[in-house]
Amino acid sequence: MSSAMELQVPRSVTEHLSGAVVAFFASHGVTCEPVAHEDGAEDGPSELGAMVGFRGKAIRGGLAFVAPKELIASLLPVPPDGARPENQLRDWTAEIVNQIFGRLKNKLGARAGRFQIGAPVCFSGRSIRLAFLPGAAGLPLAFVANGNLVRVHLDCVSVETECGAHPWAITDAPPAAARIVAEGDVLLF
Amino acid sequence: MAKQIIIIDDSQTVRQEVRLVLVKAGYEIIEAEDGLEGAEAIRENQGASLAICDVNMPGLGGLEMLESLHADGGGAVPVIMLTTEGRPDLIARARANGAKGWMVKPFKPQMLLATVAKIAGAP
Repeated sequence: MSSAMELQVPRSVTEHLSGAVVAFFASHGVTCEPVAHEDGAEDGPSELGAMVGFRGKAIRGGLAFVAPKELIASLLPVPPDGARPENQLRDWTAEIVNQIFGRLKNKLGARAGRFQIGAPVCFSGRSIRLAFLPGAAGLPLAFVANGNLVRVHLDCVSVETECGAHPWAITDAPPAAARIVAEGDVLLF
Repeated sequence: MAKQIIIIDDSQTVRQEVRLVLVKAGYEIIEAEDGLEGAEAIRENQGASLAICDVNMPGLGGLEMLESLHADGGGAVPVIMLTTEGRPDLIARARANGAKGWMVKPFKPQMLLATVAKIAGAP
């Protein structure tokens, strides 16, 4: 039996998530800077988003990424698909949230505990507003990249388990010694 | 005849990204969308020189696919993982099940080519 309880997002998660977003854009040659959080404008551009869910021993939640379609298209690492442009952009948006979450996990290292990650789900629209579930710890971040507003939302609910697991395995404590392989690294066995 | 490389990833963009690099270098590509299709592609193409496989995929994930192949004797096709994951326990699990390498996304084209050439040989 488990129950949800409120929790705070540790400062290290905020810093690492922000760093993960900035680093993702930098790897595509785009400068991305954190800004004060804001929702998309009422008359904003057409947006695409993706959300990936995760579940660990003591925590579950989701990470959402929303950005203007044109910005996402400009980051495509392959030529545009003239026949199915929308499908291609949705697929790429899903990969973006996947890579940002991957960077976050790798930066948090062993402190993050073990997560099972779901398949990313995509959505599109205008003036997309992201809201947190009741009782969830929410971390809304906003960035500007090439003059476009980019929004990232992390929400988490801790699950108190029968075995009394710590409600949030992520703390602001120094990382454990175990080495996490970073983006771009190659290991050959 | 060009050497065959199997790409297993649920992201069409990533498959295309890898394909563009390897086709340009002279490799022939076979694509699969998840671990089930990937295992089938590996079993049907035992002459392939390498499989490049994602970890988190709907249906059968990359590590589960690797375990399934390993339980069947492994086969002749070497497998490297290409993923956003960097956890040591996952890397150890892949290695224990016969994986030949682990690359963390996003990849640099020259790094991918060098890794493929090292394991699969020149195209």
